[in-house]
Amino acid sequence: MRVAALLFALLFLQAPVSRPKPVEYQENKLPNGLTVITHEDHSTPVINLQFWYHVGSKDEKPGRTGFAHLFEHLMFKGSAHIKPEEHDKIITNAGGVSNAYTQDDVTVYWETFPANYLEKVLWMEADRLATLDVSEENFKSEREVVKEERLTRIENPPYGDLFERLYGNAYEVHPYKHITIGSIADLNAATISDVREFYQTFYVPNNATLVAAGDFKNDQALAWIRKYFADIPKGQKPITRSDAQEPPQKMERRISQSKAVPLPAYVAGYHIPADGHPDSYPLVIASNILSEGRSSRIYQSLVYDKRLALEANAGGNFTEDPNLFFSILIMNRGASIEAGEKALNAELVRLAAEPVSDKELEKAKNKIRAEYAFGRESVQQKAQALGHAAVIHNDTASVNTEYDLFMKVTKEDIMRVAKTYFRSENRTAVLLTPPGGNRGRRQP
Amino acid sequence: MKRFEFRISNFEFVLCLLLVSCSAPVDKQQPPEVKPLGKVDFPAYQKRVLPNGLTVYALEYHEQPVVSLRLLIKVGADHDPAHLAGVAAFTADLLNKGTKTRSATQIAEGIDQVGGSLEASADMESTTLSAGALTDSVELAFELMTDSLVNPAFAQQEIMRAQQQALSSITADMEDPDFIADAAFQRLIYGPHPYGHLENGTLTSIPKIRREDLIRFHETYYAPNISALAIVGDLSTAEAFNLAERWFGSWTKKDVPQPDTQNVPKSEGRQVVVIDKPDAVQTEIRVGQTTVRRKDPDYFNVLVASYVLGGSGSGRLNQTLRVERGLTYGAYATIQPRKGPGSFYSTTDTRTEKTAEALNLLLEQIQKFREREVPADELQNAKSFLIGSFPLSIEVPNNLASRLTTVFLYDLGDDYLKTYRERLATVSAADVLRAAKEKISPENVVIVLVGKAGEFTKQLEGFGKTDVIPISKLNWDSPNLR
Repeated sequence: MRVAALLFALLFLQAPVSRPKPVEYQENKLPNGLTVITHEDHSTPVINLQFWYHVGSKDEKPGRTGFAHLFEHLMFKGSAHIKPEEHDKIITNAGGVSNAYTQDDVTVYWETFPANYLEKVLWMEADRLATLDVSEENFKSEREVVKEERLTRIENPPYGDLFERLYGNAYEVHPYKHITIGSIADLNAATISDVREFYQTFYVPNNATLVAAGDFKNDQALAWIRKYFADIPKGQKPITRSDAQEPPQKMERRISQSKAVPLPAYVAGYHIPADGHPDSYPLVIASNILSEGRSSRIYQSLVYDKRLALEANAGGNFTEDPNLFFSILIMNRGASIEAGEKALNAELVRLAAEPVSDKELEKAKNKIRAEYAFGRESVQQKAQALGHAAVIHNDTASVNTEYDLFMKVTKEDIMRVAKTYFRSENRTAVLLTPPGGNRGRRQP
Repeated sequence: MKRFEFRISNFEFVLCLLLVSCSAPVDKQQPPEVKPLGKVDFPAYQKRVLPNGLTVYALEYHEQPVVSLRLLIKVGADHDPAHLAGVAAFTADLLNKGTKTRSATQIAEGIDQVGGSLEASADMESTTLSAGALTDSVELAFELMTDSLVNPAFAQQEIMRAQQQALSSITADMEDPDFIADAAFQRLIYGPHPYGHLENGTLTSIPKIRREDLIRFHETYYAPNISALAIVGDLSTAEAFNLAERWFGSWTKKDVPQPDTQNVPKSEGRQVVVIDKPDAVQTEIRVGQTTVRRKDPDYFNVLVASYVLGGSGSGRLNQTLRVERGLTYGAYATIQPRKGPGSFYSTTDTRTEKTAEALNLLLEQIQKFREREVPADELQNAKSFLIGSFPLSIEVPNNLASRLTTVFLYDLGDDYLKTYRERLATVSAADVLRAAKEKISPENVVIVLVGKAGEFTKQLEGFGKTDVIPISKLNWDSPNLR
């Protein structure tokens, strides 16, 4: 038994290192500017289709925060041949799933459905791209839903507004200053004519990318895409975007607030470059070393050894324009938030002061290897990766080529980016403490 | 921001063809016809029972060089000793926190080094160990999983650490209105039965848990003959069975006491419990009762009923409360299946001043449901979703593994994954109405409202006897929360 085990282990040792499979794709552009990316995968008879509109909350005009997201909801409120709410009904009655999300840079509509529905779903997406028709009444009632969403996500949960506080203080001029959901006052100020203007400006084929992944024949899919989308005209209005440049931060910003949270919380944000910048790769590797898994540095120090934190994490938010690298703590009962902050910052400083070990670097890269493999199993994951590469990087090939950039990161790269970005002057910290301090008893 | 959040993660062929639009005008007025989908089967897998009674499923998947392992043991919080909620979850939590030969940190370093994962947790009726690894390190995943499963050390230091984490985590949950509403509802409908336990324990039960409790729980209930292992991934079936036999073959069989799934209280009369959270800006609402067992022939009828009422954004509850009135971000109905009687409940949240209006609409929809048959098209839509979503549920290894272990947990039979779509197809409007009349009622329900009580309790007159409990006074160790 033992000998057999050894032999078996030897067999595995000799096995080559598993490398994630690349995502194969085709890219086409219709004359009206619509970008089309397709990926055939016949393993299961399902398809994921995603419409990436290159517009997000950073493109909102002043006084209209939350509008990109409100608009996303309105895309389900009917078009020339589809009644309000019917879009979801058609998809779910087919056994599919349909949803959408809005971020700082993009608004993405997606559905996963049995493969025989592809033509019909394309027809539906073309209908709302070309002929959206929202009544005043539906606009107003959906606005109430979005205000309710703000209460559910931001205002009612104990830590719901942590990131709104962070971004509000970390940014001065760039529109990332406001979070995607926006303010109640701005939502109330929005009108149906804003809806029309936004639609005509941003919801045009030349500002959209269609990604389809799944069980179809490429030629057939492209023929249907041409049939339903080719005659939708290009946008007539210029697509204007904010060119606000956030000035470099010169001094630490520190906001300490008293709020009825169950446990004290700390979140810090460091300004970092945009997604796809050469420094973004060592920053991702650094975040793996800091907080990926129970053997990571922050977990070992704050959660395991010092027992200061219930949760402790670090990681970058990589977007089209420069965003923030976070470090976050939810303290244990009775633990001092000052001690937590000190121990957390020490781990970031340590990355700048001394090189990581060979073993840690290998571990961080193995995590990327596994994320590429486990993160590209489903058609939705693959379409997501393609859409991100095409729209955020403006380089669809990066869906596969980025992998090698991660593998090439060196210890020196990690030290360099840690020195460049993890500086106290570059940090905005928000501390939330319950009115009476952290009263929970410290456990034995 | 997503539009819905359901409660219930270098080959280039860039052909820049300039595509020309079709010369003939396209008819876009009519939706294109949808041709039927060919027959879709659950992917081929093999099942084998090892001499020690462990059921093993092996399913090949070669999309990526990865393997997912999922071990399910039929023991959960339903086996927690009375007054000691959280033992099952605690035992599971400590499995990968040190064994006879490895420290917690050595286990973490081992699995992290190869980019893998190893987790263990328990819920109401099962304990699950899951691991994921690239194919090149699958051997290590087996080794660490079985060591954690069979040889946990339950070291005193680790127990104290886990207790502190658990207490902090529960402290945070106790201020989360969504968590409180769910937990209070389950506690109230099940009364003293373990199904009402908080799976992760309470602020009073956690400090009472001793090392002996964990050792006893592990020795008594962790056994191969009540467990199933699913291996899904980039391995041949033969390799998978070899690994299973080699690593799990010496796990010892034993007789395991069965949980009580018989003496579960029935919901009778209407009970309204308001949990006062003075700083809330919304009220969390739960309305429901105990319902059929997972194996009950009526399960499919109640499932269709829950789908029509609130299984999706197109369900009646969401249409009424969200789409028509803008009262909420979402309103849904759901079944929580159990080996014994499960629960059927509706859930929503709304701004404080609309609490009574939202609750009224919700009860009205439940009442209507019992009064007349679901119209043919609505029934057809529900069934076509439940049947049509099958291909989506068998796409990735984790889902495949989870479907197989679920069949094992509820003892649904080897033909279940083949036949359940046909069984769903036979559900009629009369079946659904009969099941709704028997199992769903706006009268025999528990209603839980978590919010700023002072601003809405007066509106609740006529809803039934109302008990208002301040959030700081909740007693989670008591079946009535008092």
